[in-house]
Amino acid sequence: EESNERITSSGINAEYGAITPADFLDFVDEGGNLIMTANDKVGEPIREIAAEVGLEVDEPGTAVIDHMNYDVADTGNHVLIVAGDFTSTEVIVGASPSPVLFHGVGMAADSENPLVIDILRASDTAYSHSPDQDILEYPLAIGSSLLLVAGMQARNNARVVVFGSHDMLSDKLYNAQAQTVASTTSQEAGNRGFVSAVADWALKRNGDLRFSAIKHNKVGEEPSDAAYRITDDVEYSIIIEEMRSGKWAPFQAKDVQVEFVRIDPFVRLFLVPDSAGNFKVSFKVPDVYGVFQFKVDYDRTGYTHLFSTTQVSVRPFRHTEYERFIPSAYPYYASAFSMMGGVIVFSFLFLYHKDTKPAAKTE
Amino acid sequence: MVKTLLERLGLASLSQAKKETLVQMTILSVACILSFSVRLSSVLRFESVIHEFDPYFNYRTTKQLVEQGYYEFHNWFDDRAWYPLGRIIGGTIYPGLMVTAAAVYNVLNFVNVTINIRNVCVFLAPLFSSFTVIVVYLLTKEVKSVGAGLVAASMISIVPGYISRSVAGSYDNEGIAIFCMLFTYYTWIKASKTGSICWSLTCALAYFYMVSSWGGYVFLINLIPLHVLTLMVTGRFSHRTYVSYCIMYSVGTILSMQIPFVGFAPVETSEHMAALGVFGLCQIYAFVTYLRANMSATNFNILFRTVVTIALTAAGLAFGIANFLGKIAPWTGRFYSLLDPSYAKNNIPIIASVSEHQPTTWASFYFDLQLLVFMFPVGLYYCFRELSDANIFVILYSITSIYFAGVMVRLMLVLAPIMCIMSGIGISTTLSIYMKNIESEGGPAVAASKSSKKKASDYPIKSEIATVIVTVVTLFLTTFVFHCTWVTSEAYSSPSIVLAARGHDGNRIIFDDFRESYNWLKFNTPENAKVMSWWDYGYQLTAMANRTIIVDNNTWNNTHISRVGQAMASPEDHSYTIMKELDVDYVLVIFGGMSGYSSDDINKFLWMIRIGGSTPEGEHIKESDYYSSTGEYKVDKDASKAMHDSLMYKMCYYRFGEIMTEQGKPTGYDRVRNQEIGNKDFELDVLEEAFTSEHWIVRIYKVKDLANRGTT
Repeated sequence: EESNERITSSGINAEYGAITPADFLDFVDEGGNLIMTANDKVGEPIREIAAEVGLEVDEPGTAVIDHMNYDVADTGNHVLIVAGDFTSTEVIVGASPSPVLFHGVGMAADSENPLVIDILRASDTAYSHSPDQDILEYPLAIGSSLLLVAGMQARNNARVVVFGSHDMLSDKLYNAQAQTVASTTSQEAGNRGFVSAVADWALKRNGDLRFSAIKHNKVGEEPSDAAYRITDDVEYSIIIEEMRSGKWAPFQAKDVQVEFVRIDPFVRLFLVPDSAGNFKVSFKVPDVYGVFQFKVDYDRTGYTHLFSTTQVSVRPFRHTEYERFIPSAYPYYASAFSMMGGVIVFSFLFLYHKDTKPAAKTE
Repeated sequence: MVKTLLERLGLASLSQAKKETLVQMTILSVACILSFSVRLSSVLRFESVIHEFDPYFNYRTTKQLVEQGYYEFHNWFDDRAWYPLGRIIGGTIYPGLMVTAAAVYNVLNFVNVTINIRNVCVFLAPLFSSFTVIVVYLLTKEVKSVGAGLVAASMISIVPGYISRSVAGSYDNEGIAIFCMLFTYYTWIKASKTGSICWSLTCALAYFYMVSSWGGYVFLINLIPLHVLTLMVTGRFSHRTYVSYCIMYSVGTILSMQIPFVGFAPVETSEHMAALGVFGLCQIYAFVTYLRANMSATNFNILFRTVVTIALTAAGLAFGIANFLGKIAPWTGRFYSLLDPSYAKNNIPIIASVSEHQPTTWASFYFDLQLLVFMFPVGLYYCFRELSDANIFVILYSITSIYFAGVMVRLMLVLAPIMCIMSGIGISTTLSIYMKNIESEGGPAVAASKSSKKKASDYPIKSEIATVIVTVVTLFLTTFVFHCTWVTSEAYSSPSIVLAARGHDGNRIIFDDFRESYNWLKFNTPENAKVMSWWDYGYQLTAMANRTIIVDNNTWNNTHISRVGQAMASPEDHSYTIMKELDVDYVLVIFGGMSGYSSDDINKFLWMIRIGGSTPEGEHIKESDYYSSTGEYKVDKDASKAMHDSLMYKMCYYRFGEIMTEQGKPTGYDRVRNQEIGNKDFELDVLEEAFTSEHWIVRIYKVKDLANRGTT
């Protein structure tokens, strides 16, 4: 069901045949995941695809340079750097990743695109420029706005990851020791763990969510298509599962909310999951009629955007559902009945009473 | 010749009275048939369809009533309209029309006349106009004479002012309400003349039927108290009036409160206070009369003065307090606009935007009433000549309704019947005076006896004058008939859902774009798609396309309509947020630039701007921004930036710049505004064209989703 694609910077060029960057973008738009790597010889197609997903890859010939955090094994241009400014999203980079070795081009995120995820940022002292040339113009990006590895989760939840360094994924760096020039101790480079975690995420082996079995019903009743009535007690439940290392498992987050929305949310409640990932909540429908939606809009970095709306109508009371006798109306009931009684008595008197004509008048 | 005809029919042996009845019945039946058949031209010319906008809603609710039964109808909560607010149909309509149609339908089907509900709806208004003819006859007979009644009945059967709202297919409240109103008046006159409890109760029931069918009942419940008050002031107030009014008011009010839409309005709102006040006044008046009859004059005067002073003070205080506490509901906008024609225009754009709420022009008085305009004062004169309780009533009716008709075009409908009654009285009286003066050659004996009797009022060439007058009146009546038929056929028989125009060669061209587009929506969009359009088309959309709509012709929620107005008047990105907020899937606009259909959305756009800008959220929308620098409303190059950027402009003129509409004109030439559009080459960002009808009258756009890969 899931389709994935990996391309490398040397992977596409003019001879690649009929496949163009637009095909890759269509592939993403249809839900495919894409992993791309680049290096200082990055080609135009890669840059074009990256631009379309909100990332600007620096020009060929440039590299990320860091004069403070380069690795001891660097050959003099300070382009083999040690980077450790990972995104805090555990589902993408794994728990406590160790610093990685990086040698490649930098990227900048399109500030207009809200979907870009900074997976690995350069350190504050890094910048992107050609190592051989004088710096005459402002670099593409410097410091932590310079991205080494970046991702994007499209609105259809397709994932795209761009590694700025091709070498990063090589056996050489997988097995290398990382030691910044400033430090005295060396440790194993975190490339292997980091790359496999990011790849797992990109290929949706991690952090993918799906929902099923949305049910809503009146408390104590079976689900039906009928409209709810104002002030009904309703139950809502949804099963959410999470892809964890390639297997679907019940999702257990405590921060999933359901909203009961009619333009504005009238109710917003946390859903409580059970061990099977069945999220449930019950509440009272507000005293407002209209067309409402049960809306689950769970959008967390690194996870699939979970969005579900279920439209229901909330109708007012039927004419038989109002209170029959209101205590405050008893005076009116009393007055109505006493009036009726009065009319009967009066008519009786009027009909059967005979005036005795006073003698004075007849005279 | 007449004699031989009668003989042949075996009717010559009938007595004079029976012959008269026969003639009356014949005239009345012919008038009834005429009134039914003259209203059918739209069916003959087009087909049996429901017209215009509101009738579609009535039709939809009637179908619901027939299919689901009364209680489901009564409790119907419509989630297809006013998304996402919904509308309680049962509590916000006058159900009289639907119940009547459903009753007719059920009765006919019970006796195995299988007619479908649409045809019942289409032909209901002509049927009721036939009933109106009978009621007008009865009413005029009560006020004046049989002759006047027959003339009035014949006139009401073809008067354009009434036909405009009662042609076949015009399935609207007014179609039956005029009958209800006149029937109530008839029973009222009967009741006040006889003072009988039976007639008063009939009047209350008729009033109940009236209330259940039209909001215009407010006119009625103010006119009857006005009549009673006038009788009091003129010293004609009698026990008969007392009995009939008290019964009619109390029973009628209780009954009217059973209509959920009316509810407690009869005891709470200012419009109904006059009736309540007169009811109270009746009691006081009767009591005072009783006291006066049983007390000495001096004692009575002292008592009278004290009580009146105290009562006036108390009433004033009570009214002040109730008003202050908000117990008496503020007068509604429509009511204000009746009293002050400029009120709505200055304060409530949503009322002023409706063309039938505009003040009436003089021309339309003549167009709708023709001869009646001139004969009306004649009838009024004859009514004043012999004042009676019933005459006073029709005089009051005519004077008030002529004022209201002048304020609002729609109320021409209320004026038309009284115009017919007054003219009927006028013409009938004139004719019966002068007909006598024409000396017949064959009857010298009759002439001799007459001349001896009427010597005093004799004058020279009496017979000639009479002949001239009778001829002139006959001539006028003939032109009246021709005028009415012409107006009916030309102006009032268009269903407005199917448009017709004349081509270059004089052939009739039919524009069926509306039904084409509604059917497109019905078959090509998801079942619960939400369609946004200006409110005029809401009822048609729900009834014909069966799709959820944002606003419709029941303009009960200003804010919601204003929100749609804002979406139409704003630039694309701003509109997009509004459309997303309202979950809009499709947007529909009516565009006439291609076909020359002038009541399109660009011509209504100023109202959208005004209504859109009338709420706090729409404060950024200012009417002046949409005018050109010279202050004109234009769509060409001079149009302002706000105009060019608005969603409405873009939706109407999308790809229009490529089109040649008229020979010898540049591309993108708008045939309604007669301008070449100013912005021909643009793309839509948040919408995509989904459907455009054959003559481009209806254009439907689909709202795009957000870009899949961010903002590219």
